[in-house]
Amino acid sequence: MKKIFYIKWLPALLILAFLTGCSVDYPNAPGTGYDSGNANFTKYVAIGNSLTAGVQNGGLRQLFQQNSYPALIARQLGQTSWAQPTIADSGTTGSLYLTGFTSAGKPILYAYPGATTPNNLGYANAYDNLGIPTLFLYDFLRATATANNTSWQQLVSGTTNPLIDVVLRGQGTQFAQLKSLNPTFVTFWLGNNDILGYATGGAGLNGNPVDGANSVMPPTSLNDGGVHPALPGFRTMYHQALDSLLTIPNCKFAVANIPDVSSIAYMTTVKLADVDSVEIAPGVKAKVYFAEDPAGDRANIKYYMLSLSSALPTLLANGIGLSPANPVPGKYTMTTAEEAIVKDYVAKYNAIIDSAATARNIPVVDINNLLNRIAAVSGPTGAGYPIGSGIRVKTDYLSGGVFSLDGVHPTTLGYAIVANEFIKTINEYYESTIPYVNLNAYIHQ
Amino acid sequence: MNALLWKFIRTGLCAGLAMLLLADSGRAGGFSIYEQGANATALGSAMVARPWDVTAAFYNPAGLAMYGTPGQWRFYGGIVPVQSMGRFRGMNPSPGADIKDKAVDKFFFPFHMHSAYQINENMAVGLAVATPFGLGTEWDNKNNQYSGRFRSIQADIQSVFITPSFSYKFNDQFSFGAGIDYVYCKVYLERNNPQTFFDGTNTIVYDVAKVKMDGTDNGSFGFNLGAYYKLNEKLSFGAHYKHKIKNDIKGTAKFRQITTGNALVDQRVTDTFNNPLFGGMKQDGNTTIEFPNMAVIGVAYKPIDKLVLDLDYCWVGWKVFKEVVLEFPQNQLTPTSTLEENYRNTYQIRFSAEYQATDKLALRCGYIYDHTPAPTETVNPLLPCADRHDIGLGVGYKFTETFYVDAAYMAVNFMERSTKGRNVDGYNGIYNTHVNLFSLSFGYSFGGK
Repeated sequence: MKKIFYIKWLPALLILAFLTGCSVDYPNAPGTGYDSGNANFTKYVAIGNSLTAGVQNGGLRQLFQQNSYPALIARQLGQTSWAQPTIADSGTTGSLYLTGFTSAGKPILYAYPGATTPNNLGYANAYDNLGIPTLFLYDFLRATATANNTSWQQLVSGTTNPLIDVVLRGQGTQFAQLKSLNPTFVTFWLGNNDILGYATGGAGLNGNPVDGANSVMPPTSLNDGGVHPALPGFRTMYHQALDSLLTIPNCKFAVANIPDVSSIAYMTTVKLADVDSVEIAPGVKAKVYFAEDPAGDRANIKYYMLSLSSALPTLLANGIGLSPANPVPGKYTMTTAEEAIVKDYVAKYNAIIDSAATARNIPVVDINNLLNRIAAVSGPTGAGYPIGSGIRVKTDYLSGGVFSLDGVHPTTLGYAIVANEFIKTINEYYESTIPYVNLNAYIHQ
Repeated sequence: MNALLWKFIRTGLCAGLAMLLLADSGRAGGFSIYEQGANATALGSAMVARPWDVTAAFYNPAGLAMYGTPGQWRFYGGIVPVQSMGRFRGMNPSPGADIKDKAVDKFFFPFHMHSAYQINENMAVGLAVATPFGLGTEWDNKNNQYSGRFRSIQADIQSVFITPSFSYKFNDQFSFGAGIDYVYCKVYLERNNPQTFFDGTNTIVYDVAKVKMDGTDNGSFGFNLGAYYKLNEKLSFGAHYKHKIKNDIKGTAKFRQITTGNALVDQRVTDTFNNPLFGGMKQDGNTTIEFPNMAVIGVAYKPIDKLVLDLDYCWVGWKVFKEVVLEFPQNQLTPTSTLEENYRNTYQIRFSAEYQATDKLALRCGYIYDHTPAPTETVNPLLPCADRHDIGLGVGYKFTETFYVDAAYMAVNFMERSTKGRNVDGYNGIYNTHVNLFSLSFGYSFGGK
């Protein structure tokens, strides 16, 4: 009888034990506090250009500025009232909007034609985000107000940059205002525009880096006495800038280098097939002639600028590009030789940044490497760059997820990735533990 | 309270409860479930130096010839139901500290069947059917909300080892065994595919496709060797080596488009699927999974007549598990997809104690420290591996001289495992896993004498 008892009850008891089996809990969330390591993050200020200001879709808008990479870093640092020169939400003049798609699936963009309306010009102190779109390295120590004719852009091209006045408000140079804030930590990211305008302007004809007719801005010379003999070279200016930073007492720094602008969506989006599919009359496609393709076989041309996609129909309608004698101007294309020039400048600027920063014990955030890593796995057959969760981003326009409508500036997700690259470098160098930005918060699912 | 201590106490309580309920004992783990019987489950598989029952067909075939009587058939079979539970907490930057994910509580029913026939005084043959490698991790992806769904929603590896062996007794002290491992292996993987899209304001990630891959390897071969040396009535030694086995999995990958409502994205995905280079919505999907070399040495000691202690050291050559490469030979767009694993060689320490309380009733317990083979960088939702402390408890009851029943429970306590922000794919967080093994086996013998 005893035998039967066991056999009968064993399975039931097993099942009971099964159901009362040990359970498992969710691990605790990591804390939000952080250790400052060898730095002090109580007063953070950002120096830079459009990337630091938070330009997206070709303009500054409050909606996007609130997630500029320095604003994201400031949030991670726990700085709740971090001042930025915000712009009302239509954006600065020329801000781009996506209004729809053509039947061929091409985006239709609208550029805001109205005026730029700053929101907080009356803010009492200097802004904590001192990033100014289209600012050159030269301007950090020198540009004050457009009225004073002190900016690189004014001296070199004669055009003005109204955003200098929006951010600086006539209260001194970027550096002077930075110093007035008594910062304890500064990120410094300038130098991009010293090559970017040249590249996006098609890089000048036939390997000549200073073809004035085709390049908006020539690249800043590496050394003094270059294209503009009266103006200093990149090397001199970068060392001066860092030496100036070091005059700020009790402050630590991180600088960022310059991404290779030939891998941005602005360069890589428009393909030959897009050019050849433009119709000059219903059902009629013309062969388009390019100034930088004298042989007519297009073997010369590496990139077609994003600006070409909107400009081409108008050019063709005006008869431009329809014959070898009247070709599409060189500012819309970049040849392989021109790309090499751009890459060479970027590499040399970055070498200067690296040695100047290293000599002063300042860590360099390698944004160039970050963009190269993403670009290497982009394009239609690229596997994409993993950002966790199995989500992969590419440099591809719209579908890549990290370049905004202008093809040059990041999306909010892109800026969050940039912010994390800064945090990573800062944490490694200063042995701090600033928490990373939660990328998931900038991905809509 | 110290988390480790709490785990131990909780395990103790659970185990105690299980004992009170008379029932069970057990144990399993990530991708290796070495407990192939209720006695082994209770003993933490610390058995290599005491291959006295027919489970030696699996644990050390050298013991078969030593402990059978000529003409005797011995059988031992049962199940080791496995209950696995997992929780995940995300970390910044991805998937984010606000993320809490839950694995579907799963039950598996691995089975085992060990048998032996004693040919004469010196020779025996054995046959073990066992399932020592297997895993199943399925995450709750209700409404496509699981944060790791683009990595892995479900991963199952199942294998069956059929191991015929031969055992030879040189003398009353030394015996040797060798076996062939024939392995059938089955794999199922499921995940979603994402597509990012910038709509002018936000970067959106759409679930654009469901991908399911299943495949089988109908036969791979390995071998195993065992040795047993009995110094005297109190002290014996054992060793067992199981050679690695490479499973070439051939199967099918099936794709199903998930429409997003975004015409442009949907068109792009349709275009990809319709691209002849893609290889079709149903195409070949192959992979290779290698089971590692294992080498166990152990010593068994009887301090008193009724008590047997066994201590084993097990080396596992997990370094073979470098990556899982999924191959899609018909797909020229993405012909391969690689999951980095980079496992390292590792070890287990196993300890067991068995007390013969009465002529009929044996009480057993065991412990395994299982050092994780997975480096921090590759801990992932497919295999949320961690160091494990396994505690087994069990009973054996002899109803007659030829019929007995074993029951066991094992708590497999995975230590909380954090990727520490270093995951190779940037998917960071903390995993908490717990596995319960419950085992019930029956032994029967006839013939001989």
